[in-house]
Amino acid sequence: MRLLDTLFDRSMTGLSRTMDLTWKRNQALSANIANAETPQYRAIDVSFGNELEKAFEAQNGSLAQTDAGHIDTQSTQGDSSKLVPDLSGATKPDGNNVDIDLQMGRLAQNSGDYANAARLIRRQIGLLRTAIRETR
Amino acid sequence: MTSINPIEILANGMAAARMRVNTLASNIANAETTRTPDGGPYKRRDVVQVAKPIPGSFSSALDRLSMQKPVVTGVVEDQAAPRMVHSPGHPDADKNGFVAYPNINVVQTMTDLLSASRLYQANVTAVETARNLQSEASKILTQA
Repeated sequence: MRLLDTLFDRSMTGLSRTMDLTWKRNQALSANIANAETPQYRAIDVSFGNELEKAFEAQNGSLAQTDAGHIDTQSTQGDSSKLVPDLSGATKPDGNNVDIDLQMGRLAQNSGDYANAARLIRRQIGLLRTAIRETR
Repeated sequence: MTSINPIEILANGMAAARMRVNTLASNIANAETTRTPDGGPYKRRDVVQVAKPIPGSFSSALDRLSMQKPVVTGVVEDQAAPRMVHSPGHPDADKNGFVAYPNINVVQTMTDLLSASRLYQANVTAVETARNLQSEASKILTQA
C-alpha cells in the first residue's frame, strides 16, 4: 500500500494518475501543434486505456496477496495507456492530417482536466492540514 | 512514463515556423529581383521540414508510435522557369528584349506568410498552456 493511500483515500492515487496521463496527452497534442505544417506528419493522441479505472478503483475491491505467486491486482505496472494514431483530421495534399483548431481545443480541455486534478490534490492536502492544526 | 517537456517540442515548432516566415518574407522582398550573385533572377525558396522521432518517447515496449518534433533540414530553390517579361530597355534584358523575373506569386506568398505566423502563435499559446500546468503542479508544494 502506498503512503498516499494511508493518509488519504484511494482518490489521491487516482488524481495523481490523472495528472500523469493528462500531462502525457499534453505532450502528444503539443507535438501535433508543432508539426501542423510538417509534410507527411500523422497526428497522434494518448489513449488512457483503463488506467484511470485502475487508479480510482476502491481499495477493498481488490484481492489480497497472501502468497508471492498471487496476481498483484494493486500493481501500477503494466501501463495500458499508449500513443494512438489520431485520425480525426482530414489528410491534406502534403500527407499531413493535423487539424490545428481541433488540437488547440483539445489542448485547452486537457489542460483544464490537469488543473482540476491539481486543485483537488491541493484541497485534499488542505483538509489534512486542517485536521492536524485543529487538534491542538 | 515519458519525461519529454512539451515546451521543447513546441520550441522546435516555433523555430520551424520562424524559418518559414523568414523564407516567405525573403520571397516577397525579392519578387522583382532580376539579378543575383549566382546570375539570373532570384529563385523562390522553400523550407524542407521533416518530423523526427524523439528518442525515449515510446510510452511502452508495445507502442509503435513515438512523439515527433519538426526539424528544418534545409532550404531549397525552386527550379521552375522564370517569368519572361518583354522589356527591351532593361539592363538585364536578353537579346530578344525579354527580362527573366522570379516565378513568385506575391498574393499566394502573402497568404502562406499569414498562415505561418498564425502557426507560430499557436505554438506560443501551447507553450503558455504548458507553463500554466507546471505552475498548477508546483502550487501543490507551495500552498494547499
